[in-house]
Amino acid sequence: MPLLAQSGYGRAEKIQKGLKSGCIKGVILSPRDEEPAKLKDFSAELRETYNDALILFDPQFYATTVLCPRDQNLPSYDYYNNNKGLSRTKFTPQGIQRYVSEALAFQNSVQELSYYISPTVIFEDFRDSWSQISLGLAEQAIEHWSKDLSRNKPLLCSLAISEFAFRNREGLDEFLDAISAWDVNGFYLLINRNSTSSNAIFDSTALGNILYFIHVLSRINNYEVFCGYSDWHSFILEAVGASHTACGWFQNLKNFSMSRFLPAGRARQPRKRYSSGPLLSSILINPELEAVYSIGSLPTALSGTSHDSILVNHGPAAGEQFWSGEVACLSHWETISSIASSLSGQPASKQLELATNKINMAKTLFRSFQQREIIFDPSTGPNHLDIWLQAIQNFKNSISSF
Amino acid sequence: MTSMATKILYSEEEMALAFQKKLLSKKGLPGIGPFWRVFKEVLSLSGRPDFLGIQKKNRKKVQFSNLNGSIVASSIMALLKPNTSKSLKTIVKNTGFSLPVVKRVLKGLVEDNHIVQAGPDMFKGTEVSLIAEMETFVFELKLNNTKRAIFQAQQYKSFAHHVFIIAPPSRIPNYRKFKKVLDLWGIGLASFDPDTLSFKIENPSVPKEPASKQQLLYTVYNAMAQQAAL
Repeated sequence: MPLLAQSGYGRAEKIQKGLKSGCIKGVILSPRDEEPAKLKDFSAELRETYNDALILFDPQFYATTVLCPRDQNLPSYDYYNNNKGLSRTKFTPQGIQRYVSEALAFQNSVQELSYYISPTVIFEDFRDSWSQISLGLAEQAIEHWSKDLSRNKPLLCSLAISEFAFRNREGLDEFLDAISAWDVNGFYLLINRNSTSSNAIFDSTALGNILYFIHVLSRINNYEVFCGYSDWHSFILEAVGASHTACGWFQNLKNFSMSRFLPAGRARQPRKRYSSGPLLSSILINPELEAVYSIGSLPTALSGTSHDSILVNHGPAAGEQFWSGEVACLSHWETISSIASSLSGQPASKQLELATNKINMAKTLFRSFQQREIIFDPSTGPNHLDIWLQAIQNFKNSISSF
Repeated sequence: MTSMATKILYSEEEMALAFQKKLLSKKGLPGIGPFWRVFKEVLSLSGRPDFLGIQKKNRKKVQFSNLNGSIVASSIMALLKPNTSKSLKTIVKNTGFSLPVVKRVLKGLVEDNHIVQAGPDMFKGTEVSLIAEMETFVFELKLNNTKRAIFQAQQYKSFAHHVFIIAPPSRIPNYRKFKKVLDLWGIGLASFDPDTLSFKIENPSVPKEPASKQQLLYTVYNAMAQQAAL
């Protein structure tokens, strides 16, 4: 199962424990949250203990275009510090050449990395000027990788695209035509969400087109597609061809949004959630899971992970205090990776059918709880399930006319 | 068909102001009594209830200086019991916080006599528990949105002995279809008319030990350490 940890602030021992248990297969490192020396030490430690682990590094170059960013440790990386505060006019051919070579030079200095990831910028529309800059950066990365780095490691071209861009199908097709000709191993795809809240529901047209985008790159053109910050969507993305998905522990490591790099006030302590595989949702331990427990239906909502006993033995509300951030993260990884595992190994056409069945079963379970007067917060669901089904239908319509 | 729902001529803020007056009155609430301390919009780990009322179980003087309302402190204190000591390693494992953070907070808790150091890297709770002397009441006021009120009340059961939804008299019938849920969770329902200050318990609250001792400690200590009582 190809789930990776999306690293960030507060990683502690989560990644080592996730790799040890096998619920993740690697990590995407975050320079914003780690100084270069520490990041290199951590990579070496991981490589020594987990020889097969995939270790990737997201250069987070997109933060260079933010004025007064919350960039934490990024300024201690030369490729970022030399170039921060970039406006559109700074992306001249010479500029692009320098940004790319500096970003890849750092990655070349970390021997343990399994892939190079090219630097990129975020764009809002497939036809806007930032999308052209993004293409320019990727093309320059391919050239630099081929000529100067002698392709000593595989390269993923990074794309950071606004969710709104995916509503424009015509622009998307043109963009796909351009990138599907590249001689590169694959793509690292980030979808810039409008909101990082847990109820950040996708527009079904946009999500359907994202599935189509991944399908065309992976199944039609045989690229590896790594989808960052994919959280609960992981199993659907894998069903259409994504080779790897990634997810972190905090909400801003589960959904990608530039708000992580923008000035912000103090966030309140998030309420503790349990990742329920049968409901395909992270439900509030109190009162939602407690309500399920109170009607004697707890086993129907449990994912069957090795951490469930904490909530089973104490009861959800009383066990909540033992549900630490680390336990919640490991349990979440175990849940989403086991859902995706249940699809892998199946023929491509069957995977989407299985994913659809899982969503329909989750809908039925939500309905049965609601009929027994269990109230769910709108951020929990089940509205997201209808959107997923609609997006899958939109995707199927797209490929039938392909 | 025309809606027969009575229009409410006051806002939730106006209702809250009037309810606050009633809460702070000498006799307190009919059927509940007066409160030792009352806090408004208290920070908890399960939302922000409109009012938190604390009653003392006896007349003992309660010491509440140097209260530490942090999540780490409340997690540690909830874990430690007076009779059994726990090792530093167990505390780190069960709370999920890092070793340096736990060490720092333990030191402060020992200094302020909230816990006892029972040996090298061994700790236990104190005999005198501030929390054991108290009974907590939460009041959530709602003009409309019955479902939301019940959802919030369910959340507050994690740290309060009693939870009451307070609604205008004309809105009480909206809760009839949720009678089973209210009874299952022991959530009380009361009507309150801000014009006459009349308060009536429509469905009694069932007192129960809060589901999470950690949340109880966090909420009460935070309120007393950070906020002035009304």
